[in-house]
Amino acid sequence: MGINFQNVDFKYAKKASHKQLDNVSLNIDEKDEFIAIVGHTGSGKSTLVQHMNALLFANSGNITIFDTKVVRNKKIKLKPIRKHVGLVFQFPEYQVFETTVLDDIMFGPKNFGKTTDLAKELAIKASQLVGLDEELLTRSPFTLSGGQMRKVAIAGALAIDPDILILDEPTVGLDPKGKIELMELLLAMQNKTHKSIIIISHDMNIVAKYTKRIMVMHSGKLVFDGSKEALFNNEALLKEYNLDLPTAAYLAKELKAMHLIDYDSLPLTKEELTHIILGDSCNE
Amino acid sequence: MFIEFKDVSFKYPNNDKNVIDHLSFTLEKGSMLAILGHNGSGKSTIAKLIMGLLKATSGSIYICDTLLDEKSIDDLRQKMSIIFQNPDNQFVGVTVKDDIAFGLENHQIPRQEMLEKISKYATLVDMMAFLDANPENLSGGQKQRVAIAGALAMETELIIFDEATSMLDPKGTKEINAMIKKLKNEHNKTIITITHNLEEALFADRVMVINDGKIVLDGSPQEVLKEQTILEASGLKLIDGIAIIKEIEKTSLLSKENKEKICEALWELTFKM
Amino acid sequence: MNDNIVFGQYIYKNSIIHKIDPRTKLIMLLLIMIGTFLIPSDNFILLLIALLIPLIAVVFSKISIFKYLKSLKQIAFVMLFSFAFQLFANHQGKILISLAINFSVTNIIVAILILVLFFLIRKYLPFKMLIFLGLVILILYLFRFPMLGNAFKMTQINIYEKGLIHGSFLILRVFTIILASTTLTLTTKPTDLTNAIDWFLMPLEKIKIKTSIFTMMISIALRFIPTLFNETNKILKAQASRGVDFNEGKFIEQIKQIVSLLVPMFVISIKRAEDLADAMEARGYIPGNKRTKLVKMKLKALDYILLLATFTLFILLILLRCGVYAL
Repeated sequence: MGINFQNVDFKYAKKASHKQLDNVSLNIDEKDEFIAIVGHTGSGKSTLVQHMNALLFANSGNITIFDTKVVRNKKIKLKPIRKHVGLVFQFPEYQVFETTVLDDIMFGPKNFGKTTDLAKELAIKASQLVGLDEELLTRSPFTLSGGQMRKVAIAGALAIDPDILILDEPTVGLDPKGKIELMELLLAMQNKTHKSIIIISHDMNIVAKYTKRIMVMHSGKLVFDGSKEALFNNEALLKEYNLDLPTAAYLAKELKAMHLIDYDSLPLTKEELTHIILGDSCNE
Repeated sequence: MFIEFKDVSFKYPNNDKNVIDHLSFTLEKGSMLAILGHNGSGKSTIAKLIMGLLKATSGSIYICDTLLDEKSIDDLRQKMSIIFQNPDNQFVGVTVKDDIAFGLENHQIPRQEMLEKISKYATLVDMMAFLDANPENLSGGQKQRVAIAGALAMETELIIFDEATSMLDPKGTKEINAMIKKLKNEHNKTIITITHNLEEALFADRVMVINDGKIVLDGSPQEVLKEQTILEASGLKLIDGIAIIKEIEKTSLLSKENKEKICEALWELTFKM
Repeated sequence: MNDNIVFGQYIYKNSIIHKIDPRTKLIMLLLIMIGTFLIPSDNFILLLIALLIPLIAVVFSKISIFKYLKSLKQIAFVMLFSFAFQLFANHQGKILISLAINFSVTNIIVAILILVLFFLIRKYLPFKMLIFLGLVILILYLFRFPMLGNAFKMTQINIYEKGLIHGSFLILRVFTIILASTTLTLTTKPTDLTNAIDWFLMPLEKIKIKTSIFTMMISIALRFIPTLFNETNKILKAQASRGVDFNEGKFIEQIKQIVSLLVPMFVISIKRAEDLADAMEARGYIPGNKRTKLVKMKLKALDYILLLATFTLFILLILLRCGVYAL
């Protein structure tokens, strides 16, 4: 169940010199995963998640999504796959189009064959999950702020009730408060529904605080797949792929080098670091 | 004074709320000002008012002691340039070369001079190898560097960076911030950077925090960072290092000496990043 | 991804044809176009001389001949149709070929079968056009024989000398024009063409027509068309993941799905236009104002030679044409 990739290769054009996906194998559970996909621009992150939504198709290798093999074939219905795995793109401007917010959230479920009444019910439930004010539902989506519009887009995907929700750079362009608010919402949503969440993100502070598992993409290859602790403690790997440490981890390392603090496991968030600083001297 | 705002207000038609609310401040030549605020605080509106892209509803703006109005705007624009948020939407040329030339063509710079300036400033932003490239083949950071070269080529006194890094990846953001530092330190430009990231305000000479169209904080980065309550009320988030300092200062668990040492180290590290 | 969104047909090669000034190329194209229409429609020698100009350019352009054939393919049908029309409709001159055509049940059935078979398997065939042409000739040939069953009608198809000549001339004339314009678009950057057009329109500025606004519009369009393609692709994907499927649904639903594409496209474009207007204004652009130009087009020796040669040929042609009438 969930998402399974086996030796997946992909090129945009037959003649293209390098592969966008190069022998990628992975397995994603349908429950309670919180995964971050990191890597530089052009490393294949977006290409990877588009395969999970049957928007792109592997040149070779196998992709199985909830027991359905994904291949470019007219006989295979793509909709059931997209029903299982929801994808929210980076900019909500690319998808919002209805006259009211509610109608826009209902668009997805209606496309997947739900009646208007049921779609409405699902849309209202989804809008509550992302914390949209009820009075916003009747407004035009184009009058909303960037952060609110993003919530509408996420609600639009949640209303389809997917098992796995993928978000492509959900926090880009939001201000610091908006970023935290959105991530907290996703976390709360997961605690309630146990859906797996996958985010693409460049922001290591957010990755370190909210996700459990990290996948690192580098020129089409999946070069790391494991816990965040394993990644941020692997200095050689971070250096090789030019990845930043979360601010707290960076500060902790520097403070340790100055013999001001000591720790057994590297703190990744500011809460953990504060705890180490305060707890540390407690013992003295 | 390079810029002077005198009791400036701005609101959009069909909207009663002032986006900019009786704002007064001055900016000296050669200094770097960071304008901080959450999305929707009105900080970008200030940039558009300075550039004369929006017209103040009341109050007056002076650029180099000249009142900014319809008559003076075309001349005053030769002293100022701006880099916007979206790299794609400000790339006018079909190639890098064309785009750097766009402003020069408008200011009727002779062709020979134009060519010299293009190669000078393309070298400065490290885009010389891409002069004939199309925007489709450039990264966001590269496009923003081209925009900077275009602004520099016009040799304006003031450059405004209006959230110029907010749509870039970490690599692009670092490139642009390094470029801003370089312009400040080596080229003595007057710089305004508009952002919601405290990190990007740390290397400014002066930081102004905007909330609801009003100035709520104005001072050196060090001074502004101390005002945690006001910053948070303005929808901003303290940098992790500073936030930890605040936590440590509250505690009685650490010895005074230890506390000071760690705080000092964190403070320095934060500014070093 | 950028492979399939190249706008225009321009192909970069380091060839002498690429280096010719776009204005020279535009003038030459114009003269060739007018010239081929001035040539009397039985004077093949003059037409071949006209055809020789783009042919030489094709050889020197270093671009694969297939690229040229590709753009010729698009109008091949029109060319064949007008050829056939001339061939059968023109009844001047002496009869060259006279065909007896027998319409019989078997013939018609066989013809229909062949055509049906062709349309069924044409997806998998290369050179569809040529095969189709071959089949038409085959069918015509079949009709010469009564085959099984009696012919219920016999008719005579005559092909006249003039019909063949005019038909071939027409094809050759269209071929020349298409080849010449393809050469222009394959070897000239769209921006260079815009600059050339801008230069030709310059005299209009003298009579207070702001042509620079028009050419600025063209160059902005050229700049943003690839961006727009990329954007459309993203919107398509975003809506596909929300269950939009353009291959299914009732008519009403399909309309809704198209709306779901169009609205974001408009919204994004309007936002872009606003941003772009701000960026241009901030950089001192005032519509209609005088601007200096980075691009400097300079005619080189080769350009002068080519222009002189083309004009000479053109004038000779006009003289000849007048002479023909005078005679």
